[in-house]
Amino acid sequence: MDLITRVRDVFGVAHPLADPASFALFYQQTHAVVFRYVYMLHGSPKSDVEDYTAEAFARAWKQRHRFSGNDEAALGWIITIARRIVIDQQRRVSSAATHQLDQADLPSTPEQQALLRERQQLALELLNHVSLNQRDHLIMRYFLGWRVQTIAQHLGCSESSVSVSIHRALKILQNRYPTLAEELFHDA
Amino acid sequence: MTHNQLNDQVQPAAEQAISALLRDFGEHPSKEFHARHADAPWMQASAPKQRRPFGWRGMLMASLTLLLVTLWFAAPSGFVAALNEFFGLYRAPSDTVESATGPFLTPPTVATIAEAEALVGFDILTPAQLPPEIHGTQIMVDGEHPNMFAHINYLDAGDNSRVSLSAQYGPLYLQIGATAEVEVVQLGNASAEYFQGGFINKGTVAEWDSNYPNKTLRWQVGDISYMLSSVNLSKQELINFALSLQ
Repeated sequence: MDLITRVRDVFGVAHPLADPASFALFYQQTHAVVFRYVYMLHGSPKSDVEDYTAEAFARAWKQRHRFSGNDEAALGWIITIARRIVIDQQRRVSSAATHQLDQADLPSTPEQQALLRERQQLALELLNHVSLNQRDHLIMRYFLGWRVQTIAQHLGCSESSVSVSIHRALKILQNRYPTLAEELFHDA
Repeated sequence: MTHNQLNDQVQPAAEQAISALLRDFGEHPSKEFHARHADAPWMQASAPKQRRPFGWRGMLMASLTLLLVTLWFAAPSGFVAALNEFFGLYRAPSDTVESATGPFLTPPTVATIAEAEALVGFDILTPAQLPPEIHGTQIMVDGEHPNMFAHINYLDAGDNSRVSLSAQYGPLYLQIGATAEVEVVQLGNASAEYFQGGFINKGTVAEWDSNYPNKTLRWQVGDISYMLSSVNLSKQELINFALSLQ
C-alpha cells in the first residue's frame, strides 16, 4: 500500500476511482490503451475486442471501491482485469482466433489505409506466432512500455522469467521474420 | 549438429522493429463502442455533456473550443492543432488520443475587459503595453460561477490571433502528449509550466506533435489560473508578455 493510499485511508478520503467523475476521467484516459492491449492479446474480430474492453471497464466499475493506488496502478489494475477476460475467453474457445484486421475498421484515406493495415496486420500476425504469455509480455514491454521489473511485479513472477520469456519470443519472431527490420525501416 | 549462434541472439534491429510495430499499434474502438459507453453508469452519473451545455463539462468543452478557434486562426491552412482534454494537467498514456468531438460552441464575446471582469467576478491581469503588431482584442467569457473564465485573443492587423490569454477562477488544466517536454519557468514569484506542441487532429485521432509551434505558458496567481498560448511568439516573448501582465 503506497503512502497516498494510506493517507487516504487514515483521513477517510475516497479512493481515486470511487466517484463517477473520477472513473469517467479514468475511462477517457485509458480506454484506447486497454482496447489496443486487448486487441493485440486476443486478435480479431474487433467486435469481440470491444466486448472484452467494455466488460473490463464494467467489472472495474463494479469493483472500484476495492481499488487503491495511484494512476499508474489504476492502469495496471484495468489491464489485469482485461487480461483475465481475454484468457478466460481463449480457454473457452478452442479454435484459434484469426489475427487479421477487419476490413471495415480501416481509416479513410487510401495511403493511411495501406500503411496502417500493413503495419497493424503485421503486428497481429507476429504476435500470433508466440504463446499467450509471451504475447502478453511483449505487449506489456513494447506497447505499454513497462520495464521488466514492472511486468514482473504486476504478474507476480520473477524478473528473470519475464526477461527469458521476452527474449525467447523475440528470437522466435526474429527467426520467422529475418528481414523484418530492413523491410520496416526501409519502408519508413 | 550445427549450432547457429546468430539465431540465439536477438539482433537490436529486430527488437527495434518489433518494438516499433507494437508501440505504433493504433487501432481505435468503433463509433458503436463509444455510443455504447455513452450510457455507461459512470458517464451517466457524471455531468452529461449535451444536457447541460454550460455545466462543468460544457465549460471544459467551451475552453477546448476557444483553443481550437485560436489555433485555427493561427495555424496554416488545413493544419489543425487541438489540445484534447481539460480535465487535468496530465500526460496522456501515449501521444495518440481520441479526437475531440463537437459540437463546439463559440462562447459569447464582450466589448471590454471591465465587462469581462464584471461577469467572471475577478480582476483580469492584462499587459501593461501591447506589442506594436497587436491591433485589437477579442474577449470571450463563458462558464458558470464560480469557475467562469475569460479568453482574450490579441489580434493582428489581419484579425488573426497573435497570442491568446485565458484566465479562470480555480484550476485550468490541460492534457499533453506522453512525450511532451514541460519546463518550469519563473515568472516573478510564480512558477509557470511551459511547453511547446499540440495535438494534431488526424481524423478520429489526435497525435501529439512537439514540433508544432504552439507554445503554452500556464501559471496561477492566487486563485486565478492563467494560460498564454501562441504560435507566433517565441518562448521568451511569451514569458515577457506574461511578465508584463498587471
